[in-house]
Amino acid sequence: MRTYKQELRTILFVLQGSHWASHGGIQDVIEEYRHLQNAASTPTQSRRVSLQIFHASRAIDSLLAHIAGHEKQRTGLAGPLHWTLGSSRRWIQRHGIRGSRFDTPTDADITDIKSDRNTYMHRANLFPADPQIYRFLNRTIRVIQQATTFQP
Amino acid sequence: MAGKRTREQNILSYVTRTLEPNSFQRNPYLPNLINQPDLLVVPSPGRLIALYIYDFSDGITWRLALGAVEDVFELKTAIGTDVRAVALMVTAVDQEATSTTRREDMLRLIANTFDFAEQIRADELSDHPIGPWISVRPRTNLIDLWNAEAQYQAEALHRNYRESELQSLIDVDRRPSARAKQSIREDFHEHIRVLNRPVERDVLVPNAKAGLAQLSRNYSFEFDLRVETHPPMLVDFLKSDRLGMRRKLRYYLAKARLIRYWIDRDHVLQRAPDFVPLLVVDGNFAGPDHDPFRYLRMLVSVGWRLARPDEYERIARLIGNANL
Repeated sequence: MRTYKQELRTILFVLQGSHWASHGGIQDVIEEYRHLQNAASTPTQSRRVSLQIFHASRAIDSLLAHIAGHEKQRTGLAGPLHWTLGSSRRWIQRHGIRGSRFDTPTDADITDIKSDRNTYMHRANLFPADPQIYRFLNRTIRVIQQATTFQP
Repeated sequence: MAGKRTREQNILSYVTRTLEPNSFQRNPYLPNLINQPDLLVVPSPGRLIALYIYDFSDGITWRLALGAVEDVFELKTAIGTDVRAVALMVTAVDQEATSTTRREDMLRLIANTFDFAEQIRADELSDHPIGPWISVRPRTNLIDLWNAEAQYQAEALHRNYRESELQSLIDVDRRPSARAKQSIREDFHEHIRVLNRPVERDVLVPNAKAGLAQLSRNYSFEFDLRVETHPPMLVDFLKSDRLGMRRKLRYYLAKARLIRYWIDRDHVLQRAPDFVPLLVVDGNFAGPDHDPFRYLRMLVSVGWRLARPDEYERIARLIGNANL
């Protein structure tokens, strides 16, 4: 738990120090991660993990959408009108961001995030236990960490 | 250890005293780094500095120096080549008086890999003016190395990383056996004899240390075995358990990276043919509960093939594939 909180605090900092920090869309992602940090203090476990899934999902969806959308605009390549986590991932892996792509484990992480999220979002009264939610959140942090290495 | 911890805290207090309160973070935690920086600083948006404190007041060894080099590799490949890597190295007064070429080379290796490095004497912390680390820029002479390594890592993971094959190595209940490393090595030698590949013991392998740091002489890495496949397979045997293995891990990560390069006057060249390093692990390499494959992922990303000593078929397959 302590490690996860440290990871979250640090990835926020790394985002602020990245080349993407000056982009308006990324400031929204940073704010979303602050909401995620605050969600940790929710006392009821089921409500806490619901909020954590909600904020982490919005943050990572928005980050990858911004990165893919920015590259699409820069290169003039075709792409979707509306970005989802899956379409952002596919676009990035197909076209790259100035030649960079997610490595194999991180690409698998994004697929796992999508799968886990779909499970939690579409089944009533199903809440992941703390070890599961930390693994889910850790995956999102790893993806974001790698995404910040892409050059705008 | 209490003395070192206090010294580290004093250094951090000293370096942060002139920084804006929201511009730095003590004790950060980045998921893909084995050894965390002691301080992260964002002096302005888009600029990130990672500061490491290395306390060598009890002495410095190659394992410690290579651990520091590994820190820079991880930082540059996991966070980006633009992150500024800063090292503050605490040394003792009596070390300076009895300094050897070897010791100087170790310190030079660290100094020439980080973007900014400075030695601080353990007895002069309170009034030692640390150089302009806050305005440091990334070294341009090593950008090719970081980019080459990042690309290698992505390709190595794509080619060789299969969690299904590594599952047994994250079993925390699989403790190192009571067998001596020599006995495991002899067993291994016997089992690969049938593959009819010449095997050499205790081999010395050239590497990029001297070129990276412009050292006065070449320093080799020793591997337990070399199997004559094409490219050659270099084998090391390791007892590992979850506790206390991170220092070993940093050494093995740096080792696999540095044998792949030749650096001559800032030109980064990849060795041809490359070596295939194999790490035979007696025990486990389990990562934290929320990311159990972390350390195995890192080992595979730098080129290590991994196997348990009793995985004879897998080892034979790895040796056979190395010959393709």
